[in-house]
Amino acid sequence: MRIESFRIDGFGLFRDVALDVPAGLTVFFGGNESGKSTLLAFFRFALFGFPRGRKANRHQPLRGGDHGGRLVLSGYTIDRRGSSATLVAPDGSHRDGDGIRVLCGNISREVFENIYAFSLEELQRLDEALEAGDLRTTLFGAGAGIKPETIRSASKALIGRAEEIFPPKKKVGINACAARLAELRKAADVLGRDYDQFDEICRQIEVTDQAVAAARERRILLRKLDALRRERQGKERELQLLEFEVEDMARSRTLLNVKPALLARAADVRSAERRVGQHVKYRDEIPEMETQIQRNRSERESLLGKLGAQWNDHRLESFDTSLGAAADLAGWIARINAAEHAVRKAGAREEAARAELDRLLSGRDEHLNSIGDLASRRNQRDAAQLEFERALHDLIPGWGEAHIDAFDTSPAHRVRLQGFRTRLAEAEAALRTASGKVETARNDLAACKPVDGGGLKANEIAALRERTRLLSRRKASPYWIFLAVAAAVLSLAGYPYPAGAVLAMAAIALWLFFRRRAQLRRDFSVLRERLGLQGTVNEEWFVRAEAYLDRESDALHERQAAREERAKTELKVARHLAEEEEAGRARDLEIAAWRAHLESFRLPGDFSPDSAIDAVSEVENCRRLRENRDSLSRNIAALEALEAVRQSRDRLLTEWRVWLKTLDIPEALAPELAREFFDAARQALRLLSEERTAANRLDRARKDCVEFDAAVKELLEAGERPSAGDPVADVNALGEGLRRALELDRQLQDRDLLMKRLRRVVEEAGSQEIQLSAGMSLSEDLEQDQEELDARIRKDDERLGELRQQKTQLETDARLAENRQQQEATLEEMRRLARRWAVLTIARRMLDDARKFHEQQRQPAVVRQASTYFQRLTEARYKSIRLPLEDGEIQVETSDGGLKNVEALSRGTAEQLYLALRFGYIEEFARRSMLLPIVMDDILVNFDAGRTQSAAQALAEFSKTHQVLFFTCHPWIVETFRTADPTVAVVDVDDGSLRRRPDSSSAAAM
Amino acid sequence: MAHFSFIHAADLHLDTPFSAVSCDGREATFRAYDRVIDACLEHRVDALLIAGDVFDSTEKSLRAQIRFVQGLEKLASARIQIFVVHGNHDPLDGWYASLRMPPNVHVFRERVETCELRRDGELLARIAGVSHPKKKEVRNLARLFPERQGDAFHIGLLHCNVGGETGHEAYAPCEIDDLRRAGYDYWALGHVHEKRIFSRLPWVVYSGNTQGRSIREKGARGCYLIEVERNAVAGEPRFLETDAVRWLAAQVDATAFDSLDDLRTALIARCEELPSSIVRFTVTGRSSLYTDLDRAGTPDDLLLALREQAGLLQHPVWVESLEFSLGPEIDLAARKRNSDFLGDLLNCADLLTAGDLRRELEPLFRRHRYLDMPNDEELQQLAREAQWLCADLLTRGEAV
Repeated sequence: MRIESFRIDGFGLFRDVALDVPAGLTVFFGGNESGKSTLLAFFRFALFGFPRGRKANRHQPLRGGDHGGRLVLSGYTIDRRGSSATLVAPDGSHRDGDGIRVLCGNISREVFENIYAFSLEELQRLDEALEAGDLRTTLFGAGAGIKPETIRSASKALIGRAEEIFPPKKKVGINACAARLAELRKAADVLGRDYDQFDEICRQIEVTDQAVAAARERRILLRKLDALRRERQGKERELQLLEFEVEDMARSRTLLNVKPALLARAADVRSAERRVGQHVKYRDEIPEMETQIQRNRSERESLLGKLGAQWNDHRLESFDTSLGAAADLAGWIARINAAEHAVRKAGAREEAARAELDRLLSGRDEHLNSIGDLASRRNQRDAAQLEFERALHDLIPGWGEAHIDAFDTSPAHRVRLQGFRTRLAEAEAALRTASGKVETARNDLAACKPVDGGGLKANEIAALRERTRLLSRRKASPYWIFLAVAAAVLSLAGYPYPAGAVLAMAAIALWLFFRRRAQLRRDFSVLRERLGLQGTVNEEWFVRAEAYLDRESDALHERQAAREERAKTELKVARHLAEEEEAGRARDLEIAAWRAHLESFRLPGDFSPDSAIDAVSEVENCRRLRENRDSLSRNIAALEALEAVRQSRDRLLTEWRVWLKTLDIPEALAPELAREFFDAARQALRLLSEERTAANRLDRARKDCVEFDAAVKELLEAGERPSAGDPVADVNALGEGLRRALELDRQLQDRDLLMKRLRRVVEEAGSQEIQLSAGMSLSEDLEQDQEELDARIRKDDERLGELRQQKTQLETDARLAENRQQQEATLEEMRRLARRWAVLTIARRMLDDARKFHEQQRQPAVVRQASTYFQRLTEARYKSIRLPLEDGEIQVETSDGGLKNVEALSRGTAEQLYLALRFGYIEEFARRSMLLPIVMDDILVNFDAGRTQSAAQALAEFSKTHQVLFFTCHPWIVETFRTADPTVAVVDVDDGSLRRRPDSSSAAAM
Repeated sequence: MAHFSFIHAADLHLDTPFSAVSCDGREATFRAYDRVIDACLEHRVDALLIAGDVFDSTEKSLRAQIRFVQGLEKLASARIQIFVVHGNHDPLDGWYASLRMPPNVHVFRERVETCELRRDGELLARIAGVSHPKKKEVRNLARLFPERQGDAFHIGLLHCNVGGETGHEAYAPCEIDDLRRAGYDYWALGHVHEKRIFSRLPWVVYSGNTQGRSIREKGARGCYLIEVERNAVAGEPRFLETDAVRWLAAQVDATAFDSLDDLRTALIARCEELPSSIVRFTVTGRSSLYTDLDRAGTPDDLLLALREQAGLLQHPVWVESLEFSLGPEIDLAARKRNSDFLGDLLNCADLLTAGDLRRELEPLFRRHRYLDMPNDEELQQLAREAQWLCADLLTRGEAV
């Protein structure tokens, strides 16, 4: 493989640069910063792209152009632009990205940069490796396509990580896990021991359970037995008590002395007992009833006496005391009372009328107050009527009672009438005064001077005076006539103003002058005519005119004064006339008001207020007369009414007496007494009835007492019992004795039955006790036995509780399960770590194997070749290079056979050693794989002249098989190469341009 | 010739501790057992046959024993007979609490015996069985079974390893011919946790365990329901799922992802597609994320975040772990062809044998004997991951 040509479109300071590169050796010569290093970077870039990392210099095109370029490598064209690359085969086919790598013999960027295209920096890198003391790695790294430090750090990382997981001694990582697992297992053993007790616990639970069950059974039996025994004893005690009781009861029964014969008459005894209450009642009532009958009889007789000598029981029984009769009586009495009341009331009314009359007629001698006086009373009334009518007639013709009633005679009305009188009089007086004033004023008017209408008027005088004054002023020529004349003269004298204008002005002035003069003359003639002053118009004329005008003015003032006086008097007359008219109107209004008042009282229209005031007294008199008449009429009516009610009452009393007779009541009796009579008869009749009822009841009581005594006596005899003297007490004693005897007999029977039953129960309990206690050893005290048993059961129960708790604890204990879980988790973690460790360990082994392989397989050939080159480069000062397998010390053999470590070599010799090693590798690689172009950037600077020459010679020879591009800034190195190989091509590099020197063959710079 | 049915279950492993799973996991084996009992009651079977490993451990688990007896009591009241043999996990010499078994239970002891299954006096089947007397039973127990007697349906109940099944301890090893020799109709076997029908004439059946216990036991777990008619199995045994918690393995290819967030989102999306289960995710593919994930703590953080989110889903998923079978973005095959150091390394790696790798790993596994040395397959995977790791470490900073 060789570079045939290249083209840089834009890369660093290169732009549009192309070069055909010959095979063999080409020296690129250029000063510092001419672009040699950029060119080296371009070749690296063209083949491998940009290095990874942000710090890498990407040689951006400084002079423009597309970033990248093209490289033709043995017919293959690599076109690289930025990070993209294409490969075109000689046949024009496109290859993928890996094709470039294949083209480069699958070497990596690192190998290319270290071995094939290197600068002094890379050449010296072996030196750093020497200082690090790992020469082999560095050397083989250089040849291995991997940076030496990468291999070293990879190895270190693998070992470090593996030791983190499984350090030989430390208790971390997997060792820690193992320790934890061991602990867990130990703990599990301890936990497991608890389970050994499980069976024993189960057995004990079973045994204790059985024991407890048996004890409980025995306890139940004991309780039953105890209960039985207690019950039996109780029953026995009960029986004994009953026997005592029966004995007592038998004794009581004997003492009661109730014979069977009496028991047989029990029903009779009970019957007698039931009658006791009634009997006692009768016995107590008999004397009381006798007393009552006696008292009744005497009371009745007293009443009969009150009614009358003829009254006895028989007549009494026929007297009607029915409710109807009582009601009729009450009705009569009410009616009579009402009639009496009416009479009293009419009497009172008549009394009142008479009192009124007395009041009216006080002063009169007549005083009438009875029905007998009625006629005279009527005469009085008629006289009063006549008097009234006469007074009325005299008052105002046509007036009736209604007028009198309507007429106001109150003091207020009198005041009003007086008011009318005063106001009418005042109105009349006012009218008279006004008329007087009018008369006076008219006389004054008649006395006034007559008014003259001749002479000049005031305005005429003033106008004439003004005109006179004006004319008197205008009689001299005005000064401007002289001015006009002066102007005319001046113009004629040649004054510089235009003569025409001055003359025109003078003409106008003269025209105005004459016009005024004509006017004055007209005015004088008119004035003269008006004033009537003849003569010439001059100063004197004007004085006269003024005097004339003054006179006219005085006459005018007098005329005006007379006219004003007359007008004033006329006004006065007119005002008084108006006042008179007003007074007349006021008087008429008063008269109208009065007439209206008269109308309202229906008085005659010609009535004066004084007449009206007199009428008031008259009306009042009429009214008094009428009242007299009315009072008399009322008195008469009251007397008539009284008479009527008296008659009615008398009729009623007559009927009442007839009714009394029908009732067998004395007719002379007044209503109240008649009522008393009726009540007495009625009470007497009631007493008679009561007496008869009491007598019947007394008979019944007496009979019952006799019968009861007989019955008691008979029962006492039958029961052979003595009498206590009182039949009631006897019956009670019999009844009580009988009841008690029967009750005792019943109780005795009951107790007998109960005793029989108790005896049976006691017998049965005894036999059960014997049955239950069969086969049991019992102490006398069953309670104690039970207590002992209970204590035993309690103890066993507690034990059972404990055992069951232990059992449950073991059954539910999750500790062991959790422990196993943790064991498993730990084991899993160990497996995971182990796996990781295995990968790391195997990787480390692989790395070691590869390193050994390189040392063993690759080294000999490389070192062999390198030794040859080293000998040449050092002009045979050194024979060979030695690289022992196991130890890292690289050594060189001098021509005399001595060995030197690298540290002992000079810088230049060391560089020669490194160059030789590279040549060795390139040779070996070329032999094994392929030829690749070699690019070197000024690597001979540290070589002395002789060795530079040797190196140039060696490179010239090397370039026969390999393409070598050598960059330098030293002309002598160029010359050295030319000496070594006259056909060497030289390309000048200068500020981004390439130019092949003409003495070289075909290549041409562009 | 009555028709009857029975359920064949095995490897209940009651009270198995679940590794790295929340506490609910511990109940899973019990819940699975409850489902077996419920299935017996639901299908009104005549018998329940349990082919060993009722309990997970010979160590003491009283809880497991009590729960077991409680389940059997339920069946006793339904007049269902139970036949039990013990296996290597719960051999006869283990610790047993003196719990009283219900009368309908027959536990086979160390000598082979044959029992009769009857219904209302009618003989339904003869059942022969034997328990493991100790944890490591190396005898061929199948050979101890007597030959069939009479026409009745014959069932053999045994916990054994037929044909040297890998992945399980070779306790009570036997060959299928040993089983055939006895002339039985149905061999109800336990020990192998994957359900499997070895043979149909006679029926040689592993019912598998009733509950998966780790990611190694993925998928549905349960028992078989067998219907017998005219002394022959009618149709195929019907598998009844009993697992309370299911283990699943899921893969997510991270090749297309540029960030951990993308990966997390993809994992959650995958969780949403899954039923409620315990899941182990394997992240595959090749991605630049390899470098990120190689950083200490990152995978753990990712797992925690994932668990938090997955636990809140409609069908909550417990992410058991995240496995990374993820390679860096390096074409190892291409790099192997190179003559550089990495190429040499990859070529050298190919030369490493399983023995070499075991020797490397021996210090750890020798010291910690609870851990099992990886098998060849696992070693291959480990070596692959080691190559990825080396390639990643050596090429970090390489040109793009």
